[in-house]
Amino acid sequence: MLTPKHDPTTRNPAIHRDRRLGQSPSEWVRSFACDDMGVLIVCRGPIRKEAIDVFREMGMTDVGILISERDSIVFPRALSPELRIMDPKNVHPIPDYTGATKEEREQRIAQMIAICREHDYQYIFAGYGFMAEDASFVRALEHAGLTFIGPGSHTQEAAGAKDEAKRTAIANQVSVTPGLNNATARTLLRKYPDRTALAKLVKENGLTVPEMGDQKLALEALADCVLAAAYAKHLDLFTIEELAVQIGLEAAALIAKHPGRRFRLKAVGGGGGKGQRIFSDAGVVPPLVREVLNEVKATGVGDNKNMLIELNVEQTRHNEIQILGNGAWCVALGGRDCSLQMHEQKLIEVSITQEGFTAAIAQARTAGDTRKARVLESDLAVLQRMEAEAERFGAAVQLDSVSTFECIVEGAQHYFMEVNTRIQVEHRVSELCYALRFSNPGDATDFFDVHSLVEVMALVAKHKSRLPKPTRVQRDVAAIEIRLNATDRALNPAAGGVIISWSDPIEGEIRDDQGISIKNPDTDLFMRYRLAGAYDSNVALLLATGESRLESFARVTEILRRTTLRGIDLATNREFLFGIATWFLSRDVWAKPTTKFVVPYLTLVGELAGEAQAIDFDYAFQQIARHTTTAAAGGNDRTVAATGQVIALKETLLERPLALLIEEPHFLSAWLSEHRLDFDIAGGRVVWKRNPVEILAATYHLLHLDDQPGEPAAHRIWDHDHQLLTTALSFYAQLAARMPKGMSWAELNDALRAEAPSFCFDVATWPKVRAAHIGHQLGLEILAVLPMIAAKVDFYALTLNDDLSVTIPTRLLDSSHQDAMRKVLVPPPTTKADEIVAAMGGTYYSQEAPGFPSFVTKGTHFDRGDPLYIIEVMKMFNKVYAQFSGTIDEMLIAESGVVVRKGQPLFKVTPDERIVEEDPNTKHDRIRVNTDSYLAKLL
Amino acid sequence: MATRGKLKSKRNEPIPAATSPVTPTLDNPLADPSPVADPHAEVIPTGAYDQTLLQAEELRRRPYAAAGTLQIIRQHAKGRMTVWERIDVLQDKDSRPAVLYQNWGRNLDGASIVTAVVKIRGRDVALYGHDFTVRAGSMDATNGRKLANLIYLAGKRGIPLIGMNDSAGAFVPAGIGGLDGYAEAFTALRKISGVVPSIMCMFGFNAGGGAYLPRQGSFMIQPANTFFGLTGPVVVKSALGEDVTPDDLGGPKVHGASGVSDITVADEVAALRTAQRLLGYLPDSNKVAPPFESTSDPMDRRTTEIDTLLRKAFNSPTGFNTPLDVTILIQQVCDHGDYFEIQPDRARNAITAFGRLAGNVVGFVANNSAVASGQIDIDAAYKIARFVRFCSIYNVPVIFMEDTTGFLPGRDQESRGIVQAGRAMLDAIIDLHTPRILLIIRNAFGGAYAAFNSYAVGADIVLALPTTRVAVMGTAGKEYTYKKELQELRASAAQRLDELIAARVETGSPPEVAAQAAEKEVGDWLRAKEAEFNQRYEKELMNPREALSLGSISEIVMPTDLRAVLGRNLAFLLRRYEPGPWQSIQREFH
Repeated sequence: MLTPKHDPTTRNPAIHRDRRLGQSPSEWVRSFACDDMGVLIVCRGPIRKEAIDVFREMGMTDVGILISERDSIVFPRALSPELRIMDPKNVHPIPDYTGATKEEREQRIAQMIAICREHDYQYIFAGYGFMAEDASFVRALEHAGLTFIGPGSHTQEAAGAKDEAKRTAIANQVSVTPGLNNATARTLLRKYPDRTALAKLVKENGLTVPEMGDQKLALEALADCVLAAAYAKHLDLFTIEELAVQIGLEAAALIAKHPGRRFRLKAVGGGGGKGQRIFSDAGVVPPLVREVLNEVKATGVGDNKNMLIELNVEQTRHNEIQILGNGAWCVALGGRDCSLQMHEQKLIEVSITQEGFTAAIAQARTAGDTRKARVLESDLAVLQRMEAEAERFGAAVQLDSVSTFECIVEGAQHYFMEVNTRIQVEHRVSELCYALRFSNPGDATDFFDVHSLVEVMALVAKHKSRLPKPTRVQRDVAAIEIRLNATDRALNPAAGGVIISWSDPIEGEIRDDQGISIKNPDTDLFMRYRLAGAYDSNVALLLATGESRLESFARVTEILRRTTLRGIDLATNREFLFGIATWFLSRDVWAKPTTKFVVPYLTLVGELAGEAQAIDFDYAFQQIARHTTTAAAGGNDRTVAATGQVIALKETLLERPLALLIEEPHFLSAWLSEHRLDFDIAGGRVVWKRNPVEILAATYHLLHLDDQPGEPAAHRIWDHDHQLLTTALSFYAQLAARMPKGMSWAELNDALRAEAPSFCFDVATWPKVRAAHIGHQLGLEILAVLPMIAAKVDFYALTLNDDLSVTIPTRLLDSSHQDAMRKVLVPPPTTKADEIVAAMGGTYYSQEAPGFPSFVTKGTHFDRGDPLYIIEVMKMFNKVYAQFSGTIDEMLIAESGVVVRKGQPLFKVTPDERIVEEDPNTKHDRIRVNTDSYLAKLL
Repeated sequence: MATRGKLKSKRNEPIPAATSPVTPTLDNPLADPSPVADPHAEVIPTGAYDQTLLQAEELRRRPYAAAGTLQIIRQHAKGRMTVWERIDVLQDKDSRPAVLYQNWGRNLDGASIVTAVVKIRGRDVALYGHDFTVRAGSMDATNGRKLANLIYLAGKRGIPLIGMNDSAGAFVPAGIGGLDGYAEAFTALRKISGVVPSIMCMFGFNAGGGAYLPRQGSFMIQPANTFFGLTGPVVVKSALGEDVTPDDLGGPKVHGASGVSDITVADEVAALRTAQRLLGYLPDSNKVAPPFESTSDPMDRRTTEIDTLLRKAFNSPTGFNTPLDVTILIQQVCDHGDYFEIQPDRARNAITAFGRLAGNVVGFVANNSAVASGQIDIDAAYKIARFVRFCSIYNVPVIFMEDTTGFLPGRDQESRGIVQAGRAMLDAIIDLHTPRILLIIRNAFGGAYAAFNSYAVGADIVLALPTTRVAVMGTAGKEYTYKKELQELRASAAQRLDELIAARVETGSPPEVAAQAAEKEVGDWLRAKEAEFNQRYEKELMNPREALSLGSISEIVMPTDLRAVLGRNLAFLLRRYEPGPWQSIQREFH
């Protein structure tokens, strides 16, 4: 086994420790040792590296992983980083982790079992991969005599399928949303409306349905039994069309019953945002049915095609409870608030614990904020109910590993949605809040604590019912996770970038990065890593903990501020996350945004970007310099010269941070949040409530440009700027020591305007103090442009209310405006061309090979990156991909096999995005006029 | 830090003391008197000795203070670091530069160029950098001599050279002196070329001598937002009337594509870090081997992924004609998959890269069928020639990976001199005197096969994957191999045509219609028959058999064993290789 000595992520004691129970002095504890387990990890992503680490820390020596082709041969430099710490004999190649079709999936399962047999792994760990919730996979492993580290197939079937879960929920007094959960049974009953018809059907198809004779069983339940028998025999008893018609009728009935509300269609096999659609009109439902089934790969014969229809809760908050059991007992480990998401993909997950609420309530009471206290009390009650229901549910399905009990919350109401019968991406949020204490039933002083959910999964898998019911032990009060994704400024997936370097984790930073930060074990140099985007856009999970939610938020924001990723064509959502985290941090981390918060927020940042791009800062700075020098002309020549000098010495001090804020609107958003209480805007003019020198220093800090010794000069404040700033700061600090306590910035400013000395200064010193004050403030006027941008786009209209809800201005909810602002953030690739020409000379082919369909034909819409044609040059078939998206209007080369010249037109196209080029002079004038409008209020 | 001292001494200088209440200052009138760091400093130095020390201290500081804060701000405003700041990035954290000739120059200021010996990852490296804040880093006789001295020192002591170029060119007031200065530096750099390797970082805006001088070095690294070239856009405009931006004239895109810049990067820090990383593959001099790093990656690691890649490519609908990215093969062979590409922006139909195998630095030269079919064109040939020659001089063994149908034909290539370029590549390969292995991946046709490190041109060992197709040419070779049979076939086609027309006319078709239909039918038939000959040719001749039988290939290697077999062969060759200068007769070209 290779030790990860060059892995900077393994230094954090919060997630790394010696977990070898076999080393305990207690015999009882030793009996739970897991070091002899041989585990094959069959998933990828951050969980793979985590599982390798945890299992090794438990003392296991035989831990294997799979490596797929997409992680090894599709792109160079995309090789799974975990290989750097793996012995090649524990690395097993496989085409992919899940298979694209049902047949392939079965093949993969067989391959995994074969690998286990050949290399003597008795256990399989599937993390949160697609396989983890596949009951047929788990059943196949069980049949093969292997142990699945995760919920057994009985739990998966009882809790994993959404329809079944909902029935279990109702039976266990769990709060559920109005809707329908047995669309397939009802479709069947429409075709075979009574017991006789069903019996006939069963006979004709040779199905085994023992419940047939049970007259007490409701007809719909009986239909479910018939369906289950059909799945087992790989038979379909109705067509997808029939199902679609039925679901359409059911949808219409529900809409009639709840007029004006929207509903959600969900496939039972979906999850993670897949296999769901929202509708408000029953007419659109039938085509959605097929779409959704396709998405969850359930269109094959014999697949469970059941779907749920549920009332869509509009002001949704997404909460979930971590549960854990061994089949006999089930405990809840608090919850997670996952409301900050986009397109159903979670971005930030925050712990919710009873202890956390209790402390926050007490704090709100002490601060006299009874409104907030009441809101938090209501939330605490909801959490308590959810935890109790989750435990009941877990016990009912005999949960024998970890699972997540997912709810949506609307006001003081919560509704059970589904159970994810697997470890979740965000599981660490819970394990950082609670450890589990397993005590010897015969001796309470004999116990061991488990700090990792992956560890507990392995323990349960090996020791099952021997494990006594644990108690939960508080670790940190709060934890938070953010998902670092390879997405651009507008959160569109942006794959293909190469990471060249990543700053080492800071103190307290928990970084699950798939091993990307593991250095080359030989040279200790960072290895380039291509974010190939073959799976999803997630790069890493970053977590922090705290004594309070505020502290955990502050820490994770600090991690984001200091994370430095450098690379080629590299785009991540770090800047976005920093901006949005700062939004909450500077208002209230107990804010309760709905799942709809992110897109309007992003739209607002787009507005900021649009306005910032319309300001010429060079010009503005020159104008300010000229203005201040002219204003000083009332003094003597010496004053004018000195003023000019001062401005010249501040060129980089002021322009550098401003340029960075203007370039990155997410930072501008963060700045505006952080400083929102530092100024007033009256009549369009900015009145500072805090010394702009301090604001400037804070700006350097925000941009991670503090004076950090050892960092390259280009990555920190320039030395001369640092000198100026520290001199100014120490001047004002010493001045503050002389002036009356509690004096505001405005008052200080006024005092310094007077020629008569204040603050007991003598007449000799006072002029020097005034001169220094004027000098240090010179040019800082330009900072006021930032609040003015905010005022112009009405940035602060996105507000937090007293009841912790968020008011979203209606303009930010307009979808065409949202699209427009997204394009401001990331202009789409545009082209002037109305044709696509041959990228090289050679023989043209429109399809992959004879007998294959053409890549494109007349009328085809193609996206950027889609293959368009092949050019054969010297017996090499080069596939050529679209550089932009558009539609084919005409195929200019009629047949394949024709020789074309380089640059010869191949297709007539209409690009999706046409360049509307603004005349440079018009643009220049527009920006000038706009900048002047700012300057008019500034000077 | 040096830079701090400079600033402290200059801080308040440009601001006159406040005499009027509104004359702004940038100091802190409330500051405590500076705390005394040196207990002896309380004694006011009055003696002659103390005065001498004070003056000496002032002299020592002068090059750091250089032209003052405003000049530094001007440099920073362009997003560029000062020379001292660049040195700080480059050298080891706990080290200090040993500055040479630090007060050379009429003003005792170092004459706008810093020469020093620094530590980089524990190694001594000779370093120079222009100080753009003084006279725009321009060159005169003084700093030309100074630079030449440093370069000679590097050659004499056998340490690598790094240059941080940021110079406006010759110092015009110095007249011919500036030109002489450049000439001296040119000469020195040529004299150490082939003795010690050098890396040139191109910062700022370098024209004329400022571009030629660094290109005499081994590798050039160019960040974005920089320019170098023969002349700047202003001269181009006045001489030719062409409007061109500096970036389009001599930016990293231009030079990266032509190979004038070996590596292009995002910014100055990236350039310096890339220089450090590149240095990790370079020896101190031509007398020693490049740095060895023992590896934890087992040498018997099976290269299963290469097997999968080839299987997927060759079993795909386009079969043996499917392009594949050869860098994946290089990656799978190297220790921990880590490799460093040289000239990655130029002619990627050929890949040149450094990597390590069992800890030893290896140069990889590979045809890359994923780009322009992997054919060798002029750019690829020069790229390979340059890299191979470097490896030959600096004791780097080379693994060639061959997969090409040959040199790119055509008027464009001929008129630009493909014959000369191909010859340069061939000569470099013939001359290569370090251990040299050829691995044939797939195609090795004709002249390209002969030139690309075959046994006949001096390979130590030639290995072949089972997919190897060595042949004089591609399927066009059927014309020669099956000449007689093809002649007969075509003759019979003519006969067949006549018969078919006759038959159709007999059944009542008008003659033109009959001829048209018959021609199509015979045409299709003939194409099908010729395709059969293609397949026969591929089967009979496009394989490794003949080359094996003639001893042109030593061994067939299975794709999963590539790392092990290459490692084993290289280990043997390196055991029997004595690093040392390449002594040989000077040939007419290189």
